[in-house]
Amino acid sequence: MSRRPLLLAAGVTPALVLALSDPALAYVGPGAGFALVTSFLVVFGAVSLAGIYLAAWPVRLAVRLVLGRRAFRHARIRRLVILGLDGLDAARCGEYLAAGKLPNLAGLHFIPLDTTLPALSPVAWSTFQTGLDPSGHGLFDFLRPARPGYSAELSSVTTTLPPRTLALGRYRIPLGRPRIRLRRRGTPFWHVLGRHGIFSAAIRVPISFPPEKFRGVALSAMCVPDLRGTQGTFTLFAADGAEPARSEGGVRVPVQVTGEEVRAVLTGPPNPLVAGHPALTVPFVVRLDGGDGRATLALQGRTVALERGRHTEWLEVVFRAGLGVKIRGRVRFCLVEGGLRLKLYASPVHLDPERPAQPISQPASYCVYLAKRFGPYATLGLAEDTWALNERAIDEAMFLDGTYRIHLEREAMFFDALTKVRRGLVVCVFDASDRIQHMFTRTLEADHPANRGKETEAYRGVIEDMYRRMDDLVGRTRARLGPDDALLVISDHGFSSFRRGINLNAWLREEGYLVLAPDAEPGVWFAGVDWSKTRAYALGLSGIYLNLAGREARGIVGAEEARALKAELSAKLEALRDPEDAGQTPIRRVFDAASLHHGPYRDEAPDLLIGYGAGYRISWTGATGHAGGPAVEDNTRAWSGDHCVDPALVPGVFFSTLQPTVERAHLRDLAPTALDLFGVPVPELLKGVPVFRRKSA
Amino acid sequence: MNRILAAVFAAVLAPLGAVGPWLALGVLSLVTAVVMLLVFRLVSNQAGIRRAKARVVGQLLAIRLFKDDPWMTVRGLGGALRENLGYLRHALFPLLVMMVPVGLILVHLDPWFARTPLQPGAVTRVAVVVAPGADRSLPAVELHPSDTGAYRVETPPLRIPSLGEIDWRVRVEGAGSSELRFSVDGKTFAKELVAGTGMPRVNAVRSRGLLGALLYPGEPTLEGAPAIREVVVDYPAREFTVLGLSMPWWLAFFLLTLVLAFLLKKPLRVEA
Repeated sequence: MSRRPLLLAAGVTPALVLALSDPALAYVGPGAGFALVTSFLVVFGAVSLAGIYLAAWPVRLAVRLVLGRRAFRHARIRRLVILGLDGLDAARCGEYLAAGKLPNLAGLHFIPLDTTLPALSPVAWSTFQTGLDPSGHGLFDFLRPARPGYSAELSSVTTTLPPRTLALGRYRIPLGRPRIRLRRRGTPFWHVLGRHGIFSAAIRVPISFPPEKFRGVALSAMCVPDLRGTQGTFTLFAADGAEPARSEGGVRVPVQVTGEEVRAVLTGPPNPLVAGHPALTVPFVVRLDGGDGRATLALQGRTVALERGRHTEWLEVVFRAGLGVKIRGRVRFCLVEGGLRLKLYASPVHLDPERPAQPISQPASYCVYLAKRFGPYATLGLAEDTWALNERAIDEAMFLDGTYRIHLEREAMFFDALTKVRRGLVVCVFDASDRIQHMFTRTLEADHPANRGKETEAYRGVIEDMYRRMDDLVGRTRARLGPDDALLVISDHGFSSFRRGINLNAWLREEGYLVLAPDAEPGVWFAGVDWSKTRAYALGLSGIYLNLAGREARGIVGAEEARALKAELSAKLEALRDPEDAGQTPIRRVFDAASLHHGPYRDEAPDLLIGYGAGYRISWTGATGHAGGPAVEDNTRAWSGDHCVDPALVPGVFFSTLQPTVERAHLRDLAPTALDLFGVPVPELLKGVPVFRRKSA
Repeated sequence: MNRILAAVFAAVLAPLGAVGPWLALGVLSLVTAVVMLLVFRLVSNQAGIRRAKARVVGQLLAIRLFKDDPWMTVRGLGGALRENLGYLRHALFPLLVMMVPVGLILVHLDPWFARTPLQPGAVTRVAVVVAPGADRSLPAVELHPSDTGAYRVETPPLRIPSLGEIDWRVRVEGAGSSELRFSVDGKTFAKELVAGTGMPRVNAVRSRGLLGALLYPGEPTLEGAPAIREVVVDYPAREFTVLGLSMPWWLAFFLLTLVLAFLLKKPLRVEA
């Protein structure tokens, strides 16, 4: 026995050969030992797992048959692939199709797809997935009133912290977990498919946070917060001498160049374990390399090269809350300007998909699986940082770099799902199409107010290029389809220009419907408003609420008065003319929600829904509940396109490999269409109709 | 170099021997684990290993996530095995690099941990093995009695031509280190004999040539008697027992370094 290690030590026999015969013999150091032990466990685990699932598969199949849920019995297709291209505009598609610029989409059947009122992504995608109108799923805007009171809260999700904590010195240990609740009601149609034994992969469909259980896999999208708990807060570290500032989407942090070095801290989540929840931070160092093109960044033991205008990969950041608790996130940096006037952009700190601080997928291991397969990826709901460009923290090229990187991550997930789901549903929503149109619509109009002071000519082709890229994605998707697969390419709405902003609260103040307290200055979220004299206020992007007695905290409008007041407001708003161009009607139509909606959640709707005219939208100040400034003003920000207009102006698209039996469809028809294609009975609650009706016998 | 190393190990292990074999092995395992982890980190593709491990886990998760489709289960299994090979590939180069230092460590630790010294009064076998190619009729090797009375030769030489070996039965008379003295064809050579207690270095074999120097560094190689390949003394094997299970020292050493390295790899930031 004693000679055994000696023979090993001689190294006469190649270690690899030994490895195949006896792991112990091939042991040459802990690292290699791990490799061998781990490999053995992998093989053992994989074979065991596969064996168990393969053995159990006939049993599961039998159970399904016995329970009468034989999947695909009445299906007309084997697989349905829905490619959601957020914001793809019907008119623009028509233009590019006519010019022969979208050859792959040209090979599909096309009909316009009507959107919801209001034409907003959370509302529209909720209708898409549930087949219900807004009063059926309960979402009417990004924001809703936080009653009692007049502040705003996110309409789709609510988070409640544990009510009790255990005091332990400086620590306050929460007794329980935060409760995150999805406010969208209704049932996504892939849940219904799952009940009939059909597997689905739903990737980044908006309004799916927190994830819900169903038969399939899903990755959450819109409304997934960053680690700060916001919908995305970027940081711009700047050594240009400017004061610190905070805008809606980001923070500007002054830094100083000392020698050739900048030391700063990245702010992360509030510390959940300490009273007052002070923000957790991690320090980092930027070393300048002389010129303005390059620098290096040292963050938590890792050093990465910074190249001007290029985003880094997703870097892991670990925030230590104490008591051994770590909160992990992912951040990427972009060197905006090097040298002594350094400007460094840091993205919002995304939840780490490998170890998310909040649930972001169904099942919980799906987000981990994607991270293991393809590396870390963006998890924030609104991942493309439009705010950073809007605030000019980054420029257009940097925005495109960041946006298309995220798009490529999504493509990898989507094509993986296409490989993995051979029967069933694959639905994936891509957001770049929406974000790019928001930020570059100005470049298509030479006289757009947002062009002032910005480079325009160089980016004139960005939107067309994006449409071509989406068309290419469609082409690659079609190449992966089988003969029994169906492909739908849809968008939730189209697009319009956003040239002028209307501050509805300022208009209400001018017209006497919203009253400020004596000597009060107007401020955000209705600061200075005298609610005892205010009859209406605007909240969100397209809603006007009456200050109804019994509903609002300090309501003064009675039920009898309400109807007349709504009619009066509607008439005045529709008659409104742009003071700078009397020929323009900022508001095309005003909708009375009570007469429009009949679903169970109609009471949660704004009293009036505004259908803005083409080129108009609520102004930036108006959207924050601010009643100051002019009622109508130019929009000079990069966010120069929008869809929050009269829905009739911004239909989405519906392309299909199958021939539609209707000439026009609505988003609410998608759920019945998908269920009908799989031969699953459409619930009576759904009022939409299948787009591909069966031929009658 | 081997002699220098032997001296270094002797300097380290001689005092460690006082704390007992388990503790001594534990300390050495700890040092080995740290050094080898650092070497592994230095010579391996850490990012590649991280990616390879992630892909393996990804494939395992795929088996679980897409279990509804048996074909996906089979593909996931194939993918896991394929990625596992990729992971092993990353371990290959560091494995080759570490073969030399680990080999040297094992060679030098073996005399200290593999055997216990003979007890006074114990009987053992002493064998002289003839060099290959030498006269298989076996030369007239003589084992001389001890001058100091450290041992007693109890039997005449037992000549086993088929093995090319000449054996004696020797009784140990006293504790300590002494020399077995041999002569053949007018030339003499010796072999160390260790008796007593504790954890002294116990060299079971004295051999010749480069390989002999490499494998048995505790004693100088046999240079004076070309007909002799090696001299072997049978010592009792030292067993390491855990929860009633006996194992050889090298297995205990492997397990200890593996466990310690597992505990230390995160603090040392080693991806393995």
